[in-house]
Amino acid sequence: MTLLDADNLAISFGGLKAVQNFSVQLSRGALHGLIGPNGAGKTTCFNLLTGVYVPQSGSIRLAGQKLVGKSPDQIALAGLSRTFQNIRLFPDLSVLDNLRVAMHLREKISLFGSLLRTRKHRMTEADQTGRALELLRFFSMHERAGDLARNLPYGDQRRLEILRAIATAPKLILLDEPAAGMNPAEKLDLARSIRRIRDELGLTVLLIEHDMTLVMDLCEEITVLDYGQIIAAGKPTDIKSDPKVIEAYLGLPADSSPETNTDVA
Amino acid sequence: MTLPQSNHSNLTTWLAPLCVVALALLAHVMGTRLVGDYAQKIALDCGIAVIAAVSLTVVNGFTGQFSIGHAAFIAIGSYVSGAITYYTLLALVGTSLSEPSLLGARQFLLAASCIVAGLVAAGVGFVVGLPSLRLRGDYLAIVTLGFGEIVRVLLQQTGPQVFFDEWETASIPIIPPPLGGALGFVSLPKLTNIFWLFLFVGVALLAAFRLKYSTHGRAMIAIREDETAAQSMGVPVTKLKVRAFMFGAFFAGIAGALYAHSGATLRPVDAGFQRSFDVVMMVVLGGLGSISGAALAAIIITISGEWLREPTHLWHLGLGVVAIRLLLAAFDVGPGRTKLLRSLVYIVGFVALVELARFLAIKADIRLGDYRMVLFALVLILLMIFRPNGLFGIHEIWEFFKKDKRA
Repeated sequence: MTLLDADNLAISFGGLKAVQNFSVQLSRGALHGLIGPNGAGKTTCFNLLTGVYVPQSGSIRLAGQKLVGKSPDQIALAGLSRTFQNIRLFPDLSVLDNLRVAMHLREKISLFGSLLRTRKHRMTEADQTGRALELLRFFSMHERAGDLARNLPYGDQRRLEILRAIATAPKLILLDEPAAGMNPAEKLDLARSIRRIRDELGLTVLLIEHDMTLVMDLCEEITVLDYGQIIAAGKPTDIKSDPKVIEAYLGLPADSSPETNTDVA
Repeated sequence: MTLPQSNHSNLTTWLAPLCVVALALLAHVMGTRLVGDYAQKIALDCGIAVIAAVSLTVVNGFTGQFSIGHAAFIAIGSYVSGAITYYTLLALVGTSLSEPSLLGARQFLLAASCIVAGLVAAGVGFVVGLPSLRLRGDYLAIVTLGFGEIVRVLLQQTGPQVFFDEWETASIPIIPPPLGGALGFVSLPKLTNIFWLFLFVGVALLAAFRLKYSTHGRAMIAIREDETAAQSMGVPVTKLKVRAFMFGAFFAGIAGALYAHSGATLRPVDAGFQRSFDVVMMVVLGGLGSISGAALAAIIITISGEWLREPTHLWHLGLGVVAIRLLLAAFDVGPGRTKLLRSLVYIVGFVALVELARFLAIKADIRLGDYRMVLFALVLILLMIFRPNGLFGIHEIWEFFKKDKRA
């Protein structure tokens, strides 16, 4: 059953065609990888999906709901959440509050209710705190609930950003290079965590990652981008042996170069 | 898992507003019995400044939107409420001259005019905020600056004030409204007293704190921290910015209303950027986002502005501060023993500097009061050098008294 259906997305900045004909279908519970060399347009795809950029053509549907033209906060409300390539936490808020901010979108309490400290307000606050602590337990971070986000070690900041995305109660979560800057042990731990997010929380995951072992190990389906276009899609084993992918990452093998030279000439 | 339940929060829902009323009554009784008119006047100025600073904190400190048109909302509040009480009293009693009493009918007229002034200011805030709050940073600052100037010019174009002797004969124009134009709006009833002022100070502080520690306030602060991330997490950025702007404008309007009835003459320049910067200064000095910091900075700035007119000895105050600092160190709370010596050197050095300046001024026969704006600027520069994030930074005052809260 299809959860996300992005069809033929395209965007160009001036003369640069950043992404063209980008299509991806995710079924519920999928663990999908998006890979490609630097500058291939992976993060641009994320920005298209989350409404940071508006695609110039194409359509996006999340569980049947059209997303094109909606603002990022409306898309988050529709059930699509993300992390960022460079960590973008709320540095001067506590770990707990970082998560509680992400729960705001589904709260029904009015501003006046909060100012009058109604019963509903107190229920909301207690409920948010409880759910936030529960989420922190998921990554065994509950003891740091009161710390400022800026004071967390790097790995915990990455984990908190993932938790914050989960706190919006999404259907689909986009992870932009979650393992960037982590050491091998941390990466292994992260891979386990991402699988748990899918298995225990029932979320669908789309992730960008540069670490090939991690992606090949973790993802069930992979889409490969180069120069803004999909050059391959399929199971990790097929992707590994796909000549186009090898070419994009490693360049052409030496013996085939005369062929391309004749093309240019 | 067990949710953190707190039964006493049920109590604070009602207890906190009751405390505000009780404290306002206490302040009124103490203020009128124990201190003179001059001290009372300074207390009024402080309270008005506190409301203004706290209202701007919600905009500049919570959502991080740099607004430098706040005085326009204060001016709108003061003109609106002034017009209400002045012309109501003129029509009903025939004179606008009033002395403040505790709970007379006129005081309730003042309270009502304060609320109306706040609502009008909030309405204007909505109209101005909706289109302009989509802008970020410098662009928003320029728009709010322009808004302040527009209000100033509009107030200059208002018609001449109608006084009692013309009341029966003159036909009173509605457009332009008779608010005194460039000559100023004078003879407003002196209705602001300590009780009503402190009541509104309490309400403003309570509302700001309750906002800060609610899901709405946290979402607003998230906008300050990282607007892109906040929006991606589903925070409706524009909606919350407009709400914060209206919230700030509402209390700015109330501050203006209380100012109008404290014996002041209202002038169009009150809406200009000079006054706006006064409020911005309090918020920045207090620490962006710190309600208690902004309130304290408002009090310090108001009192030091008065003190500089006729600088008196400061060493009593210096001794007091040193005593507090030593007590904190003795019980190792707040800043505790860290940097104890350094802070003592700063305090003593500052007091010594002031006393030296006073001594030299007397010797050289210079009136220091004439240079108060220069001295004032000097104090601000020193504060910004030694506390670049403001007095409290982003923290509230009690956060300094909790152990290992700030790692």
